[in-house]
Amino acid sequence: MGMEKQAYSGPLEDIGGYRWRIPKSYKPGMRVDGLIYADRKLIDAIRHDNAAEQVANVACLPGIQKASLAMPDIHWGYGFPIGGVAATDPAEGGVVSPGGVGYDINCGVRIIRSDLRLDDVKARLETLLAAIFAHVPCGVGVGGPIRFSSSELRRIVRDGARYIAARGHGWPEDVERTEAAGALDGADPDAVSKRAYERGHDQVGTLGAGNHFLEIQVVDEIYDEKTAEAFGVAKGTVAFMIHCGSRGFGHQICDDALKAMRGAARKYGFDLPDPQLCCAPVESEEGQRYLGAMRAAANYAWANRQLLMDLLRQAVAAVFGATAERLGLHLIYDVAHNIAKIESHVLDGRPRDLCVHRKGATRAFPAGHPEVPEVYRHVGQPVLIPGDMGRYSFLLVGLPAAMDETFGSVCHGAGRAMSRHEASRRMRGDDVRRELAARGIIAMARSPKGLAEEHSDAYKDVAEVVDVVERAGLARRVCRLRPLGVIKG
Amino acid sequence: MGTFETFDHTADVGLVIRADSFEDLLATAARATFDQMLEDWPAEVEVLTEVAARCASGLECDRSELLVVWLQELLYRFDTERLVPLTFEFYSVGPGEIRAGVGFGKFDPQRHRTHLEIKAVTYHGLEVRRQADGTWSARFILDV
Repeated sequence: MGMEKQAYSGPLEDIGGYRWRIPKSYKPGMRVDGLIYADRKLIDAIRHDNAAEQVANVACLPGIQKASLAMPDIHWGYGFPIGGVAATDPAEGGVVSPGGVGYDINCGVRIIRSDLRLDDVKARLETLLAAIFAHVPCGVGVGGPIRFSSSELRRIVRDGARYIAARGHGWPEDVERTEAAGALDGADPDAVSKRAYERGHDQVGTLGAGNHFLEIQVVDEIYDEKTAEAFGVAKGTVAFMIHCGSRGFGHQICDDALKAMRGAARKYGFDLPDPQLCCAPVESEEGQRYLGAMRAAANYAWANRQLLMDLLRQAVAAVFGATAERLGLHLIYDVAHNIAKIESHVLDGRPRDLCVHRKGATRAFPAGHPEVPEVYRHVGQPVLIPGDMGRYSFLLVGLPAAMDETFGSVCHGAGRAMSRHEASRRMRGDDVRRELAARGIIAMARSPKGLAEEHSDAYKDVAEVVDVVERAGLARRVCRLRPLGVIKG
Repeated sequence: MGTFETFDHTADVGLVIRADSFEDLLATAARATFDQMLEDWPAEVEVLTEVAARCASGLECDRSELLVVWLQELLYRFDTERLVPLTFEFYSVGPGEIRAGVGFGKFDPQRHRTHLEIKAVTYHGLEVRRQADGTWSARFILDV
């Protein structure tokens, strides 16, 4: 038993401002520099695996613009590093890569505010958590609350959260407060395999397992009063965070695309330093088919999180004997952190439509951007950064520098500090439960072993990651949220 | 039945399989993969059916690819029918497909405790080897 790790020994030039450069002279085939955002402590950790090499590999993708970017929570991934951002220009033969999105297409986070205060919840925390645990399907092999027909599933992949909300599982404002208004245009139901539909038919409204979670949190620190007020959060109030993706539906679409694109590099005449970066030009048949299917999976994920939130609202309302509206259970925002999107960005003084890959990175658009919901346009887009279940998560707001430098992107979380095996070797599920209880946090999980693998020490401190993002000027902290109750699959 | 062990891979799970034959390797890899998902297994075979796992047309179909499509097929059966493979009788292995009679138990989320959800069998560092003594080994990583 040993950790499969390869340290990075290539160049990492400190260019100041929490930015480290891998010059494009580092290896043949690099079309742009690599650029990693980190402080000295994080960069030392980053050197210990091969993620920086992957940043350099991504810099070799045809049509890549500006730089191959990596956030401070960067770690090793399949082809792309997790925490990587890459924008390609379709007009210059730019490619789309399934590895730049990942298996869990539109894995993402949503956060729901409430008028409940810590004291309201504290005395009933166990009852509340148990009610949510019983009402929200989670764990391996657990189906969703609604069996959608084939035609309904096609509506879901086309209209995402909008379809679920329109069926009565949400409020009109939910859709407005979701990235892309809950559905990407251009989803192609016919580009999705039969297998993906079969795998996804009963998984809408399921949390799954692994690092996905539902948390009850309390806002314990406000850093930016004006923006916090705009987002509807106040110190001492309770919020709910959901982290989940496109389930088996998205996994199958990624598998299908990896097969379909395997020969694409040879067919379109370019070399790749790592076969796992398999990709095809955006404008090619393979590229268009993948984008059509990937958008379908992204929409499935938004539908999934919308239905999960509806179930959550029902459970909370039942425990407090009041309606969700009365309890102020408003969605603050929902944001993807595994996705590829065609977005308009200004490069060399002119707007260009680019294919922006965010693999473990969060969109962070600033105030005034037309894609920021109207209700937040004066302050900027809410940016949701989950931490670990024992410490805290953060709510940030996007800043103009992210638009100028990182195609409007920042980090997505803490990143693991130890492997699953190492984590479960150090602590058992019951020990984790007891340790969390001592800190006033209740945890419920279908898998005690899975709970052990997700314990707090297995993750880096997300505050350090967020600190770099803030110091680099990409986003600003709005508030910190401390977990009170945790549900894991 | 062959043997398996896990190796660490940050957020994911690596598996090393050893077996006397390629067929045994396939059966052991299935057992090892589902062992990451389940803490409790169904006790008995309830469904006996033929499973055909095929490589995609036009792609090279070596033993590594056969292993991947085999595991993908079984994971698909679990996702769509909640079936857990328990017994294996291989009718043919290659070229391009595996055909086997598989005895499945039925997974019940109310009765069977679970562990990890497997998103995919990845190609990273995927290796299938026939050793000098005629035995087989495989090494692969599951994205969880």
